[in-house]
Amino acid sequence: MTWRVHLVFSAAATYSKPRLATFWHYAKVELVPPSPAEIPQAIAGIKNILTGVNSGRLGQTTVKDAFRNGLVCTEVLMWFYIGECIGKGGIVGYAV
Amino acid sequence: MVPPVAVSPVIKTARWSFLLIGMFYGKQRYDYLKPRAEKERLVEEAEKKIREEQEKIAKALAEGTFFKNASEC
Repeated sequence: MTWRVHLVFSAAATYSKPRLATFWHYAKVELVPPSPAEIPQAIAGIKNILTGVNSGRLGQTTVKDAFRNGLVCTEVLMWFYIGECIGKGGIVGYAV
Repeated sequence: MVPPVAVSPVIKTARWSFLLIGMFYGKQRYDYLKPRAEKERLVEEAEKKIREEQEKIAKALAEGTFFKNASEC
C-alpha cells in the first residue's frame, strides 16, 4: 500500500509541471515587483488619476470600464490581506 | 498561448506596496494581541477556578452532603 505513494507523487508532478510552467511564463512578466525605473512612472500615474478625479474626467468612464477598474482595484486590495496572512503567520485568525 | 500583458506600473507598485504594508500590519497586530491574549487566559483560568468551586458547593448543597455527616432533621 505504501509503495504506491510515490506513484501518487509522480502523477501529481507530471500533472502540475506544465501548469506551473505556464503560470511561471505569465508571472515572470505580470507579477514581478516594479523595477526602480517604474516607480516614478507609478507616482506620475497616480497623479494622473487624481487630476482626472478633480477635472471630472473620471466621471466620464463607461460602466464597462468602471466595472473592470473595480475588479482590478479589488485584486490589488486583496494583496493587503495576503500580506497580513504572511505577517501574522496563519491563514485564519491570529494564533495568540 | 496569449502573450503576457504589460501591467501598468501603478498597479504593480500598488500590489507590492499593499503586500508589504499588509505584512507589517499583520506583524504589528499579532504583537499587539499576543500579550492581551495571555492576560485574558490567566484571568479566565482564575475565574474558572472560582466558578468550579461554587459549582461544587452548589452540588453538595443540592445533594445534602454540604454539612458533613448531617442527618436529616
